[in-house]
Amino acid sequence: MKKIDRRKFLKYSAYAGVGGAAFLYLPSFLLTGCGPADEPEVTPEQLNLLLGSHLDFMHPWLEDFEELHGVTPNLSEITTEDLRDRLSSAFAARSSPWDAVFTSAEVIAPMGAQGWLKDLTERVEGSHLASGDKTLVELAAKSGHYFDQVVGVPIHIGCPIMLWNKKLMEERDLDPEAPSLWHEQRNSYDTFLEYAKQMTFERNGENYYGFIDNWAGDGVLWTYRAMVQMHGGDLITEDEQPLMNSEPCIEALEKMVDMLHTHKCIDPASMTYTWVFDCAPSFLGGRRGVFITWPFLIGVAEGEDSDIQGHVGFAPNFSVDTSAHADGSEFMSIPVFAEHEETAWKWIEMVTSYEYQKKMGETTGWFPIYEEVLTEPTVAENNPAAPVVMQSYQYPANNYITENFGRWVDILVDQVHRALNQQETPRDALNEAARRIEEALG
Amino acid sequence: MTSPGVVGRLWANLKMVIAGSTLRSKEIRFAFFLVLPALLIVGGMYIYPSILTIIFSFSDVDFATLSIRELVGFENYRRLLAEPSFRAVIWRSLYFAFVIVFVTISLAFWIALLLNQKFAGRGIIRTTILLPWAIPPVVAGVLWGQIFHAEAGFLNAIIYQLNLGSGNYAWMADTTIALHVIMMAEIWRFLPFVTLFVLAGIQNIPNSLYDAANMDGASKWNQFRRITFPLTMPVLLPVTVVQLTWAMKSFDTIFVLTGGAEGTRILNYLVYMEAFRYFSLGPASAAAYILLLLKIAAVLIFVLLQRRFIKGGIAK
Amino acid sequence: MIGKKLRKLTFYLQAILVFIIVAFPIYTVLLTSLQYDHDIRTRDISFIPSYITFDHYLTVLQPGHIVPVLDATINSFLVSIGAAALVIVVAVPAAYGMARNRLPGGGKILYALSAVYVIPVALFMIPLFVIFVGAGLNDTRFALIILYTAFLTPFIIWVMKAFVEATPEEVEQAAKLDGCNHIQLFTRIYLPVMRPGIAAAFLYAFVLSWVEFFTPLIFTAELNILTVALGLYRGTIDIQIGQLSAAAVIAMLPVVLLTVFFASRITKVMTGAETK
Repeated sequence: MKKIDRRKFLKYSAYAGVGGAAFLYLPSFLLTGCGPADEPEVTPEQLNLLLGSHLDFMHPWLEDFEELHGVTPNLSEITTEDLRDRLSSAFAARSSPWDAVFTSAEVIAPMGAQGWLKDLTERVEGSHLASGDKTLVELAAKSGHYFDQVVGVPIHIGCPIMLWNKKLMEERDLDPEAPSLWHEQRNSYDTFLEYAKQMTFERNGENYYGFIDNWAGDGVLWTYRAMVQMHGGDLITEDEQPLMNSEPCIEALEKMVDMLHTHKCIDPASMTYTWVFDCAPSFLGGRRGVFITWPFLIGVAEGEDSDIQGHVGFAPNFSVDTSAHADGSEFMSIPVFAEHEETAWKWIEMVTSYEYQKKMGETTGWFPIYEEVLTEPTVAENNPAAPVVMQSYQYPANNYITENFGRWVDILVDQVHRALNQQETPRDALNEAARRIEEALG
Repeated sequence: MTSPGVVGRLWANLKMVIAGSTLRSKEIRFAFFLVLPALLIVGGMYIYPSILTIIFSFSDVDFATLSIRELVGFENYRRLLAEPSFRAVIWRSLYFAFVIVFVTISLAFWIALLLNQKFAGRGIIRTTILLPWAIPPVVAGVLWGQIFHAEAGFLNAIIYQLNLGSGNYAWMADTTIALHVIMMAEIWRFLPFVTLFVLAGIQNIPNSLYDAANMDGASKWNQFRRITFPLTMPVLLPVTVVQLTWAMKSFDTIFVLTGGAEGTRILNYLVYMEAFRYFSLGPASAAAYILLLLKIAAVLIFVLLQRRFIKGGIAK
Repeated sequence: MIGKKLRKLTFYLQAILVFIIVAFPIYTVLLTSLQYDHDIRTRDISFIPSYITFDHYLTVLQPGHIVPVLDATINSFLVSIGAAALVIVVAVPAAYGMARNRLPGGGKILYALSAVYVIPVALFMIPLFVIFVGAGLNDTRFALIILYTAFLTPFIIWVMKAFVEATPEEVEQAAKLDGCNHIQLFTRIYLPVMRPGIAAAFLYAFVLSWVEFFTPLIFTAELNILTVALGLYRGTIDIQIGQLSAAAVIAMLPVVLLTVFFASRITKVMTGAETK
């Protein structure tokens, strides 16, 4: 009996407590925002920023901006995965709580197509970005364009490059320095394949693989796009005529399928890896030979927790007809619904200035957007991958931004996976992709 | 039931309700006011979008302004249904939902039968059973992903440590396996809810029936088949219906585990993709209404099956 | 004799099996939150831990952490309580009104309300979103509360209706004979009887609001609703599985505690509801 009474008592007092509190605080409670700040008063000058959680090197710059312009930036952070959904839902309501947002090609395409990003072409042309004495890395900046409109200004550039485990290569009697030259040598892919096969073996119940990559979900396109361009091909035209069933694209896919099922020199778990950190453990553990990924991993691989510290090689990708890669630069855009466009532009001008780009290159692992800054000795000293990235951008790096980007990319990814899972031959899979795209976009 | 007759009666009723002073009409008025808030809230939230989406499904919609560019009749539906990949998604959604419901109910029966008996530790099991629903789907998704992870997954670790294999199989690489892992996560999540209801249903069956069956020498299995199962049916119906619709609405786990990879895509996920990735509200709405029809069909199938079962079971 | 012992053994084996199946994933969360990442991510993990660390919990609860677990938990809590309370206020009277044909056509109305469950949520989102933004209610707790309430009401009406109809008619007859009018019938007779059901329904509504993911993803600009915040972990710089697990445990705690506390009450209630 007592037990029940106690329970009832607790329950009733809980109800009373909640009820009382609710009654007292109801009005303010209901209308309080879920975020840390209440509805901001509309003051003349404000800066609301949406940055990626990985862009934490910009945090000290917020204070600089405040000193410079007397405006305290209001920072929100988000991860790249959620960026598109977050922006879509805000813009769908025809509003934008942010004045400047960070973007990447995969976001720029759909947002640009909907007309949700301000056209910054004129602003850019009137600024140091175009008229100064430093040149933008062209192929990187290109991803910020929606057709001929500039909707994103690059804030750092980047592309996946080839990393390899020198120690493992030496162990298997391979030349650990040879891969540095592969990007210049036609058909060095064949050599790479030989190396990869050599580095695939089993020892003490552990599997070693010559190659590792993240081929799950959209991740597979980073490598597939590169391979297609290595064969001198293209995936789609600007007006969305599919080209993926052309010979270069088919050959590229066939190579990937062969790696997985014929030569078996790639970690089969690559099909489950969506991004770099899925692959990192085995690579850093010294059990993988070559890894095409983001340059920042070099720093991690040379760190204390890595088993391959001191044995990391890096260079632009191998080549078939040419070397190639996909572009992974990031940009800042101004939403069409932003309320403080001027301040947003001031922020963009600051972070893309030579001064800040140089600072970024000299103190962080991110790559400046100007060729001259990228090749400065101080930057190279801080970041040995900088010259490599510079070299990479001599090669093709098209991101194929078109009007219905989301839709054809999904269809392509579906079909590429079907081929990789051997549910269809690469030729059939890509023909089907072309057919589906024509159907869907026709 | 002629039209004038029905209308006449409704009108008479209405007059009585509004102006009448009989006990019954007071009761009706009172009941009406009790129901009104629910009607307002649910109706207000959902009537406008529901109607809007039906219209959208027959139109070409401009996402940016949420306005209709032109009416296209059944074009959206036709295009969707013409694609083999879409039809595959439909079959997959049905498979997904039915298997989940079937397995969950089977497991629920097993667990409920266990819990129906008194034994040491019964309280612990009963409490543990309720836990999966406390876990947000996002977390459940990541967890199950961790269990099946290629290099560092718990399943592989167990295999390795028990010397059953090398312990680095890439489970999630195979989309069929991935699909079933997602189903496992959903079954696990639904288990508490269904088990409770089944347990309630079982505990309602009077013991006298079992005593009589025992005296007649009926086996345990026969007892289950002819007493337990049919008599739990009435409880089972709403539970399976709810579960079917929930299973077909499954989103969070798929989002987190495979990001909607083709072999794991079900219809609800496709609606999200059309709406939020491609900004095509016309096809999205059409897909949504196809999903609706599917759900209704699935529920009807279940209801019919149930009727047959009850009839068959009672006539023992 | 052996037969009986054997049966008992298989019975207990089954019970243990059930326990393992249900509890194993939860145990893995717990374990992951208490171990360092590099120890968890190998094949050689020891299922019985050789050490425990609370580092992940400390990191996750730091105010500056990119995933605001504490804020998010509080927000989720307030919204869930609000929604559950509102649902009860709306659904209990409605269930009473619809039960036993008090309101003619009540059953049909209920079916109509339940129709909202068959339409995929994604499609509601955008028109509702536009409405809310227009009313200046976007990104407020009120928006979420009202949305959850609308969504949960039909289901809770179903549940409560069963309770109302489980009360024997004689009770109602007796009360009427004693001169109860309608209002008193509701407040003095039915409500007290429905109390356990109301408590269970409140708990259901609370939990269902707590685990919502998609709605807050779209409706809050600040990601301060817990389940959405948890989603952030899968995307930060390195999937900090330890921190995610710690945050998940923190997230589970309120609901788990509630469930444990009310476990027997819930089962009693569910059983009771079916007693005709």
